[in-house]
Amino acid sequence: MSIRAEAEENLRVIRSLMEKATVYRAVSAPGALVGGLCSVLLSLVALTKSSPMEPTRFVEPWLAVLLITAVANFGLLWRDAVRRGEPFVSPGMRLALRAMIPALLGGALCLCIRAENGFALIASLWVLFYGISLLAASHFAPKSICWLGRAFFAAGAGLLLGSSQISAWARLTHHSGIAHAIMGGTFGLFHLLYAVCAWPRKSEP
Amino acid sequence: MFDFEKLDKLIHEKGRLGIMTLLATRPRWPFQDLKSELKMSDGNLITHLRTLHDAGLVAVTKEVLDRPQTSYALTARGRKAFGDYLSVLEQILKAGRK
Repeated sequence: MSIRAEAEENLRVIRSLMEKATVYRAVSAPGALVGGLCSVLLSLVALTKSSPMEPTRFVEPWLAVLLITAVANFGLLWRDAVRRGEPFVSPGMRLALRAMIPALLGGALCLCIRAENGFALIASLWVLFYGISLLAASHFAPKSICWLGRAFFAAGAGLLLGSSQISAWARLTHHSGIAHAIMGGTFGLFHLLYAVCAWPRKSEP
Repeated sequence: MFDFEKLDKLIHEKGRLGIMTLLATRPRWPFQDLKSELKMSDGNLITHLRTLHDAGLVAVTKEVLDRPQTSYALTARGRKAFGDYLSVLEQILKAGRK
């Protein structure tokens, strides 16, 4: 083997080992706690305030929760990176973003849905796409993120399989109430459960 | 003409290159994790780690948590040597393109 071919082969080995060994937690446990609490609170407030005559707004408040959670999560990831003396935009973060962005964009495109009782469908698709985005990063994520991704994917798939029943409920009750319940039950409760399971233990290095 | 003597022969060996690469990704690696990631035998891994440790590229920490555990990390010298080795590989590739 020529020295150039050997250098190429060694660089390939280094790259593949580094990618395999990179473990990146894209969702910090405290960030999930903030997101989970905000989601549960918003869904409870929306469910108590909305009525068939006066359906509450759906998209805007949930985008606000997304913004708050994203700011909190990135702030916590930045603090952790500073504490470890690593760059904020680490190779792990770049890998995670590259893997997650297509599915997250898919979720964003769901905002184009304009259908009667469409909020429940949008919420179900957000759950599904978020699950897919987490699963896309699963080969370099800790196990808890993989489980979170599986839970969201299963919930999203179940919601879509039962979408005709959900539409019927939405017609019987009020059209945004079901959607708020879906968001609170998944983004709220799943993230709270994840935060409890993935909370950093003192014995960990 | 590229000077191939610049290549650090200590790191260039496949097994030790794998060890140095993994050690560069995290602050420390327990022995068992290195073993399972690199799929090396205990004896082989210990021999390579000892060589790297004797050269001052790798630091060893022995501690007792719930059970005795030996962890390995790159020293500052090891991190620099690995960075230099990567630069040399890049230079070889660049020289080959000319």
